[in-house]
Amino acid sequence: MKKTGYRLVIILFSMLWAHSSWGAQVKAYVSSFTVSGAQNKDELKPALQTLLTSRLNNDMVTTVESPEKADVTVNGSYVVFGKVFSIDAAAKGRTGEVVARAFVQGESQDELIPAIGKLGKMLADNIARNYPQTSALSAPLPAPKASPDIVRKEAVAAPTADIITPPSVERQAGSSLVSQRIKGMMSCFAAGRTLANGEREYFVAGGNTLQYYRKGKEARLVAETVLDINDKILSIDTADLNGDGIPEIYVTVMNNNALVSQVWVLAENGLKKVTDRLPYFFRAIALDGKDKKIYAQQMNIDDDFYGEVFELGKTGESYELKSPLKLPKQAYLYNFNRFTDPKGNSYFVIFNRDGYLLVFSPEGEELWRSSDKFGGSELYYQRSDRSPKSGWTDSRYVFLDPRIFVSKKGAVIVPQNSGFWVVGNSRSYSKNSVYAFTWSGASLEEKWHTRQSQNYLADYSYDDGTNELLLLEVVKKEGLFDNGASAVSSIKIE
Amino acid sequence: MKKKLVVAATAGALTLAAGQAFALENEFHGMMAVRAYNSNYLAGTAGRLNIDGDTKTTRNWVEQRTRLFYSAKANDNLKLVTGFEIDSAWGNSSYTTGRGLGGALGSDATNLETKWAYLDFNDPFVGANFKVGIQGLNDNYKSLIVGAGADAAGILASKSFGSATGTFGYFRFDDRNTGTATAGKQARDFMMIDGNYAVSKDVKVGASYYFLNNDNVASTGAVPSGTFNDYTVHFLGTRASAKVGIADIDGFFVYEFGNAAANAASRGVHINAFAGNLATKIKAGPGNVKVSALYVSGTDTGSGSGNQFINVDNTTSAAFAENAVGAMGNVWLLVRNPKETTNEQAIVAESGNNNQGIVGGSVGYDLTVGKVFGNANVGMLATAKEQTGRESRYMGTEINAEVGYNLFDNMSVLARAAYVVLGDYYKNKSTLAAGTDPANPYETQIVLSYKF
Repeated sequence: MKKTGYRLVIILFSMLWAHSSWGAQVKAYVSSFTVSGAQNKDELKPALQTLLTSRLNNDMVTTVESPEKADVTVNGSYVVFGKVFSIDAAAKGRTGEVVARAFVQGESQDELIPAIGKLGKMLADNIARNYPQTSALSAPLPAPKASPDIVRKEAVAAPTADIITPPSVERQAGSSLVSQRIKGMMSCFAAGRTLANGEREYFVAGGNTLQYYRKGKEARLVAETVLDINDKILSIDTADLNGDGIPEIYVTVMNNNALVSQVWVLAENGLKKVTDRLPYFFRAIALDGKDKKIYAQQMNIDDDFYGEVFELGKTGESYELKSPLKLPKQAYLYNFNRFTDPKGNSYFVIFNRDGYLLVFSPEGEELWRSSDKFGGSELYYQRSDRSPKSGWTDSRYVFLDPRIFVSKKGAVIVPQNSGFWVVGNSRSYSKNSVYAFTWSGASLEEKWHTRQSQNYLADYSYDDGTNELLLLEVVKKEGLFDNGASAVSSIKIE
Repeated sequence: MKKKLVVAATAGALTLAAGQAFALENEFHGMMAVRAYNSNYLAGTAGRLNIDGDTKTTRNWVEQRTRLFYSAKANDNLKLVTGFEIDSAWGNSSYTTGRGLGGALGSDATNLETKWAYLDFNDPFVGANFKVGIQGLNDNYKSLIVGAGADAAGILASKSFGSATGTFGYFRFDDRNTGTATAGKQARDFMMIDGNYAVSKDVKVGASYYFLNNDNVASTGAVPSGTFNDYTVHFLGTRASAKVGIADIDGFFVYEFGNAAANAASRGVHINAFAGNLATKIKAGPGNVKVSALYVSGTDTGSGSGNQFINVDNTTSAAFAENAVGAMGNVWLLVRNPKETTNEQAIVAESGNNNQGIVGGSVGYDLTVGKVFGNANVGMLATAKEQTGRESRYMGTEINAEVGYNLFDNMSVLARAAYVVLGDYYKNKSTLAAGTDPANPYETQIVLSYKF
C-alpha cells in the first residue's frame, strides 16, 4: 500500500509538472549563426539569426531576445558547397543537453528564406515534443557579464558524452572605449610613456606628418612636424635605446625610392630630430613578449627588403646593425614575431603573402597555418622598376604588414582587416577586429577577439602592462578634396 | 538505383569541386588607360613613322586599353596565371570581331585578347621556380633584344643561390607548321641563360647568353629589313648597376654574332654587332636628373655589312616590334617608348633602327611634389652608320614634357607633349613636292590611367 501510495504521488506530481510545462510556452533564444563557404559572412550571421528568430514559433515555443531568459538556446550553422547549402540547427537546454535538432538543404540562394521557414517549424515541433522530457530538471546558469567590445571564447564544456563540443555561444567579457578624432587619414601609431600625472603619450603619423599627443581625459596635440613634401612615413616606433628613460621615436621614411629614416626625441618644445637619412626600415618588436627592441632591415637597388633582419644598436650618436635574426624563409621585418610555449620552445609566427597566419618551428618547419586570413594593410610604398617592361608596370606596390604582438603570457595578438574592395593593389578595408590566440602545442587557439569595428585599422599597439589595446582607425577615407579622418581609441581587455 | 547513383556522384563531384574551390586563392590585378592623342604623324598604330612620305595632316583620336590579370593560387608553390587585354579605339567598329575594335556606337565587339596563360610553380626537389606557358618575356637589357610587353610561349626556370640567381629559358616564337606532320621544322626558337649576382647591397652584376635560331623561311619579321629568314644568332651580354652616393648608375653591353641568310641555301652574312648603354639618375634638388646614352651598331642599308643589330620582331608584321628602346631614356617620338600602349609608332620603332643602328641619348629632370608629378626631357638621335642617299646621320632632336596629378592612390591624369626637330637625315628625301622637307613631328597626349 505504501509503495502504491508513493507511486501515486509521483504520478500526480509528474502529471502536475507536465501540465504546467505544457501549459507554458518553451522560451527559445536563437544565437548568432556560424557561416562557412558563403560570402558576406558577417552580414549573414545576424541576418540568419533574425530570420530564424521570427520563424521559430508555434503554440508551444516562443522566442526571446536574450539567452538569460531562455529555456533553450538554438545554435545554427549555414554551410555552402558550390550552389548547394545546408542550414542546420540544434536546440540545447540550460545544461547543454541537446533538446532537438533539424536541418534543411537547398540548391540555390532563392530557396534560403523558405528553407529557414521550414527549419523553424521543424525545430519548434521537435522542441515542443522533446523539451519536457529532456530539460525539466535543468538548472539556470548565471548570466554572462554584459560588455560590448571583447568577445571571449568560453572554456570547453566538461565532458558529458564521448564527443565533446565546445560551446559556440560567445560571451562578452569587459572593456572600455574612448575615441579621439584626428584630422587626416593617418597610417602609423606608436605608444609612448605614461606620465606621473597619469597622462599618456602617443605618436601618430600619416603622409609626411608626425604628431605627438598626450591623453588625460582628452587627447591634446602637443607637437606636430611636417617632413619633406616627398617623404612618406611608413612606420613609427618607440624604444629607449639610449637608456635615458625617455623613448626615442624611430620613423621609417621613404623618399624618391630611397630610405631616409629618422630618429626623433622629445624636447621642451615638442619634437626634435636627432638623426636622419638612415637607410633602414624600422619596427619595434618584443620577441617572446619580453623586452621591446628596434629591429631594422635594409633595401638594395632591386630588392624591397634586403638581407637579414638586425637589431638596431646605438653607440654614442651613431646607430649600428647587430645580432641578425634567423627567420623562416617567408619572414621579413614587418610580418613576424616569436612566442614561447610553457616548455620554453620558441616558435615564429608570421603573416604569409596571402594573409594567413603561419607558425614555424625554430628549425623553420611550418607547423600550422590559419584557415582565416588576418592582417591586411593599405600602407605601401612604390618603387620604380629599373628596366621598363611594358606600358604600365614601371613601378610596383610594396605593402607593409601590420604588427603581430606577443604578450608575456604567450598570447599572439593580430589584427584582421576586411572589406568589400580589396583587389590587387587597390585596397580599401572597411572593417576590423583584433584577435588573440594561444599555442595549444599543435595549433593557435582563439582566446578572444574584439567586436568588429566598421573602420579600417591602420595601426595599433598592445600594452602588456595594462592589458590594453590602443587602436588607430581610419573613420573617413581620403577623397579627391578631402583628407579623411582617423581616431585613436583604447580597449581594455579584462 | 541508377538515379541514386547519379545523385550520389553529382553530390560527390559538387563536394569535390567545392573543396577545390575553397583551396584556391584568387588574385586580381589590372589597369585601364584612356589616351587622347593629337599629332601630325602618329595614327594610333604600330611601326616606323613615314616621315619621308606622310601627308602630315593633323589628326586626333582616343584609344583605351584594359588589362585584367587573374591568378588562381592553389598553394604557396603553385598558381595559374592568366592575363587578358581589351583594346579599343573610340569610334572604330561595333558588332564585329577583332583586335582594337568595338569603340564605335553599339560597341559589342569580340575583342578580348589572351596575353598570358601559364603555370607558376616551385619545384620542391630542386628548389627552383618554373613558369610554363604563354608569359611575359623581357630580356635584361631594357628590352633592347626582346621585351616591352612581349609575350611568348615557353619555359622559364630560375633558382637562387644565396646572393646569386640563375635563370634558364626556352621559348618558341614561331612554328610555321604547327599541327602538321612537319611541326617544328620551320620554327623560330629562343634560349636564354642568365645570371645575377649581388656583390653588395649597392652593387649588382649580371651576365647572359641568349641564342636565337630561325628556320622559319616565311618569317619576315625577325630582321626588320626582311632580308634574312634563316639565321642563327648568339647574344653575349653583361650588365651592372650600382648606387654611388646620390647617383644610381647602370649600364650594359651586348655582343651579337652568328649567321643570317635569306634562306637555307644562301650564304648570307656573318653577324657582328653590339650595343652599349649607360644611364644614371642623380638626385638634384627636389627631383632627379636622368641621363641616358645608347649606341647600337648598324650598317649602311644600301650595302650591308653584318653589323646590323638583330632584335626580335613579330612575324605577323614587322611593325609590331617585340622590343623597345627604353635605354634611350624618356623620349616618345624619336624611339618607341616602352610605356606606349596601342599607339607604338615612332621614328625608330625597333632597336636595330631598320639595320642602321642608333647613336642617341637624353637628359631629363623628374619632379614629384606631393600629388603633382612631371618631367621634361631632351633627346637626340642619329644612325650609327652613314646611309647611302642620306645627307646626314642626324635624325632629330626631341623636346618633351609631361605634368600629372594623382587623383587617387591608383589613378592619375597627365598631359604630355613632344616635339621633334628633324635632322638632315630627312633633307631632300621627301616624296612630297620638290624642295619640300618633311614637317617636324609633334604629339600631345592626355592620359587617364588606373592600376590595381
